[in-house]
Amino acid sequence: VSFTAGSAPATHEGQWLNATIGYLKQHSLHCELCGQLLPGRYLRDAVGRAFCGLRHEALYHSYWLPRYGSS
Amino acid sequence: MIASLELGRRRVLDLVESIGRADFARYSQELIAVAERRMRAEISKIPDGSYHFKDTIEDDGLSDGSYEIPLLLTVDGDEVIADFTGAAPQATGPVNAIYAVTASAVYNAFLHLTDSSIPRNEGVYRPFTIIAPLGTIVNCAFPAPVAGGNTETSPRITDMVFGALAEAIPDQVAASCGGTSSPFLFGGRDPETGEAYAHFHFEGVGWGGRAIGDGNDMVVTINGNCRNTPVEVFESRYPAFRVDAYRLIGDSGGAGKFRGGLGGERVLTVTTNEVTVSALLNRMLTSPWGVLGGGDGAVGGLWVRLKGETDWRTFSETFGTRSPSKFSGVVLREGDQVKIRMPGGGGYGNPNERDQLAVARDVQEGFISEEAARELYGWQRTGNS
Repeated sequence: VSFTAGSAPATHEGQWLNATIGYLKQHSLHCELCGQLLPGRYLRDAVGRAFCGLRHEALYHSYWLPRYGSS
Repeated sequence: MIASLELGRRRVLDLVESIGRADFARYSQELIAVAERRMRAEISKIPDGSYHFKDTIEDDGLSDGSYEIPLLLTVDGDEVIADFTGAAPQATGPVNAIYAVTASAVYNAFLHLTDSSIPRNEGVYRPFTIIAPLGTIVNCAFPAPVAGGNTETSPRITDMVFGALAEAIPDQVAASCGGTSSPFLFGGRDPETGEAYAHFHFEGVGWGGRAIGDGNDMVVTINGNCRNTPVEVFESRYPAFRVDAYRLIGDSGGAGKFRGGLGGERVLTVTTNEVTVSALLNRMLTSPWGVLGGGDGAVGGLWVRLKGETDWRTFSETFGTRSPSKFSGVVLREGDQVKIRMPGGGGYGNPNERDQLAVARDVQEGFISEEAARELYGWQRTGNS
């Protein structure tokens, strides 16, 4: 899925994935921008960062990186 | 609650049956859309900008340091970003908030600040982005303890939103409330029945002054959903304590054009052979702040007086707890006493602008002392006051 929808930058590419949640293993995948636990479907960008969705992926580039840089 | 949920379920099914599933879904989506549009319209009235505020949680009961919470609030058109980047790492003690608590506290603040007739549904929350880095006191990772996240960190965050926006929308914000649910927990076995009992007790605090009036006196924190426990309930339901005093504390509300609500005090005497107590109180060291020239509210406190002693002392002094206000598992015995003092709210606006009749009434009611009235409000007793 290309990140061309909404306000997401068109230069980034990634895909929607479904988190595998096991019964015994703790699930600990969190959005790279907001920090929220990703309960199921999530967006993984081209370099492996996970996001709640397109909006948070876009804000990561337009809000987060200009302020704090890549961590 | 079970009955109301069951009734709600039946009503929803009745509605689906009467209008059809498709229309039900369409109307539901429109209700969500209406809520979103109205919240966005409210946010649009706030001047665009980045607003900063910072506050702390005093300690976690297991270490001496405080936990800083910075907030960068960005209003951009009809959207808001509440950014807690830089928040202290999660604590070992139970003052951590999970993400949902932090987000809810921000939403709660905006529900206070905006039109209260906006329907509460998913649409209300869409204009907000909450950034709470994982592993911090505002978004802790498993297995961090979280009991105080709801009771302590949550009201702190809601107040911080008010503080951040004080200059931008002065007519809508309030000063800090007492900022602690004053959790005082106790339990044991009923000596008559042998039945185990436990109680998670909340106390009220003073609320912050706001543009339309003084803060409320002694009400559980502004984003809480619990009521004060009346003395009669307290004494009749649990065999542990007698309530010797339950009162407002004069001069505990921050001075202001509209003063902070008063904090209070409860004095308890153990009436059973033994009771185990725990506590998780804040605002014992750092005052609830005022806004727009208002003064700070008074801090709270927690003391114990063992049977036969004359002086009140902190739990740290008496039992060696690391924190005087956050501890667990202290055993008290019959005749021992506890005094819980709850913080007042911060004041709103310059105290010199306070109506002198309101000052006189406060003095008459004992809400402020004559000395404070003179020093803080320039009040002079006259023949009529």
